[in-house]
Amino acid sequence: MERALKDKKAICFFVLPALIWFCLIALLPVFQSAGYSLLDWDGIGDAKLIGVSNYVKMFGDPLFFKAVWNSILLAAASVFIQLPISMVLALVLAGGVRGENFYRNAFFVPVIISGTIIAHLWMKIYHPSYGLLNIGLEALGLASLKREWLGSEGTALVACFVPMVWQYIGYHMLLFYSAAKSISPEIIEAAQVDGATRFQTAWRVIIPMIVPMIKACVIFAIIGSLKSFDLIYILTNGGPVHASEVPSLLMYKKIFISNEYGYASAIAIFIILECLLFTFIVQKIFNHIQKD
Amino acid sequence: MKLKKLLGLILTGAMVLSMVGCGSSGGGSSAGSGNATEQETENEQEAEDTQQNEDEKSPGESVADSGEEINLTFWHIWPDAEMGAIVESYVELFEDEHPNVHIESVATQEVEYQNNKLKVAAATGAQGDVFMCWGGGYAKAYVDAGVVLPLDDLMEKYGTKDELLDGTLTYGTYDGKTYGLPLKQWAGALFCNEELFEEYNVKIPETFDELLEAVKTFRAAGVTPMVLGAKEGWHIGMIQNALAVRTEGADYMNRALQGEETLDTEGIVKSAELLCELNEAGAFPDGTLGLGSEESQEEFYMGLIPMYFGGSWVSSGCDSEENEIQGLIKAVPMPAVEGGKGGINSFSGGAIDMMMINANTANPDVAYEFAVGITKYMSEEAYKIGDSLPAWKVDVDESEVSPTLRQVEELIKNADGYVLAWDTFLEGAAIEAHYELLQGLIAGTTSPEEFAAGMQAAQEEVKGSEAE
Repeated sequence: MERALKDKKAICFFVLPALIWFCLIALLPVFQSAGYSLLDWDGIGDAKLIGVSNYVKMFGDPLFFKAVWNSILLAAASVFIQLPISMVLALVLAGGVRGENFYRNAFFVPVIISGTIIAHLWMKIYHPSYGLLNIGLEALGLASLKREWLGSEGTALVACFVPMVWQYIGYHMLLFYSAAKSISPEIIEAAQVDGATRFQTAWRVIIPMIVPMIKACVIFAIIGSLKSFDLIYILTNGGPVHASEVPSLLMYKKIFISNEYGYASAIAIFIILECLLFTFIVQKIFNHIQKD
Repeated sequence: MKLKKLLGLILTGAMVLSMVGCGSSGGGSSAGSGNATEQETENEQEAEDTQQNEDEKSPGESVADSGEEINLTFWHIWPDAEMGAIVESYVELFEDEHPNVHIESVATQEVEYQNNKLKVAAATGAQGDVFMCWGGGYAKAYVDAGVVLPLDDLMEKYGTKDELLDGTLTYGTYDGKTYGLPLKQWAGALFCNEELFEEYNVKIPETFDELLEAVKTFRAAGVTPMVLGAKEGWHIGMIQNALAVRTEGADYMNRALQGEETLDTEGIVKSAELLCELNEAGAFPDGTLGLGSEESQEEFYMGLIPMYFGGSWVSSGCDSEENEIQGLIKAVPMPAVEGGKGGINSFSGGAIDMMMINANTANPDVAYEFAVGITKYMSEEAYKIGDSLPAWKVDVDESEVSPTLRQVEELIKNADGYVLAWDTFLEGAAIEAHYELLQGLIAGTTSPEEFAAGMQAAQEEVKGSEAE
């Protein structure tokens, strides 16, 4: 095995088929999109080459910046709210509680439910007249807190973030949990023999040992947020008045409602570059952390 | 070592790209086929049926329409049980009459079909031989791209025009050529729940002032006065477009929407103002900007909301046994607006749903025969269940027709003008602008003046880029 891994020709040879396939179905369309982004094209009729005009238009469009800003807010919410919650749950479960398996599965359930269904569930929760949230608030005597959650500009974005953040808590929890479980018990026992509390064990032993997994989760969370689409599409469709617009939704509307295929491709290219940039930044930050 | 690193890098990069790719460029092409409700199994069944029929027929008969096996695909938007059954029953009928023809019908949910599936397929002319489409601005790109068959010669050949009601071909005609066979007509009306009007002692409105008064009375009594799901721009458009027919008149609106006149007029500003007045008086459900049309109309069908301004298709819900408002609904025209240029006999509506034929079809004659047949058949059936008004000269026993739809039909007997919903008239970016501006009116972020000016600017931009 070791010898085989040292043989670079063999590696190349065996990786090649998958790589070619990958290039055809993943990389090629990206380059095609880059090509389309230079066109003035409605997706059906004749296309006209217009150079970078679509990009000029994009960077002059306040709506586009709003959408990007919203997606960055969502990424921040994912990293600073979703991941810490996942981490706490993972550490509690990994530390051993009664019904560990049950809780692990229960938290994972939202991940396997389709986004469309989750969106519809939350739509019912947020419904202004018979929604669970408003009825609940009223029952608790907090009627003054009742809102038109998805229908007012002030609350729509946050109302969309809540289910999006909630949905993937279980996913990240499972990743953290499995990483924490893979730490050899001797190390944790050693810490306990030295008199570390559960909190100290978690903070000083477990978390530093699962940094690579944290890095992966941060990247997943950020990329997932930047390209989020389904929940917002159903919950608010970017409304009201673009309060909850995100780039991929904007791109969708440009293609399928406005017939601006070229412009939408420019947005697609932007999302790709944005994701690569964030991945790069996160890598750099974590390399720095891991070195220390 | 370096090579390994490089490979690793490429793979990571590729993974990131693919994740993004799924959300963006890839989505377009896959979205279309994803949600299609294929009906292959059913069709296989039909194929067998056809086979049997062929066997039963006497040799003399089958010679008449024998010839090579003909396969047609038919794309439509009725995956639901009620309309889907109508489609299937006609397909069976047609296959019985033409044993050598096999029809594969593909049903897709409407919004998905309109926004994704048809657009993706029509880009390469790969849509069904006979396909459901919308006239006006929607099909214009397809007609320009040459993927739709002009029907004039075939219509001449089969004398189809005599069977159609007047004016129903208008929106399927581009540059003097006809491309679409009208499936149905619709007309907008204000559907009022008489029981609620009586309960709260309100008069069914005939003028806009009375409408406003009714809204205020219902609101004061804690009843949501009108249906509106403002999350979907077109639903707001239904009301504003109809008001514009009152304030600006049907003739002018038709010219303006075609780009011959400006949309930035006092009358159109006024229509937006009236919408805002309704909104400020509390006409619409709380949180309407977060509600979809279906969600919102549910409460009307449950008998909780007294008024719904909608297309004639609302009738089928009013008469459906599943709902609680059977026999309680009175359909009246959009109330008159004092000082407006349009009278009470102008309506929003028209014939916009069309059957079109793919320019690449191998069998235009059979496709045409099928298209005419199914259009006529569905026109009749949809009329019976209260879905829409017929576009063809149909012969239907009045007692079979939905009672609420009959009321709408009575209303339009003396119609002197129709204006389509703007979003079917307008093209591309102007549609999106229309929705945005309407939502702005409801949210209070757009003024009526900005609405009219914005519509005109969007119209100019679309028409301008076309002229280039």
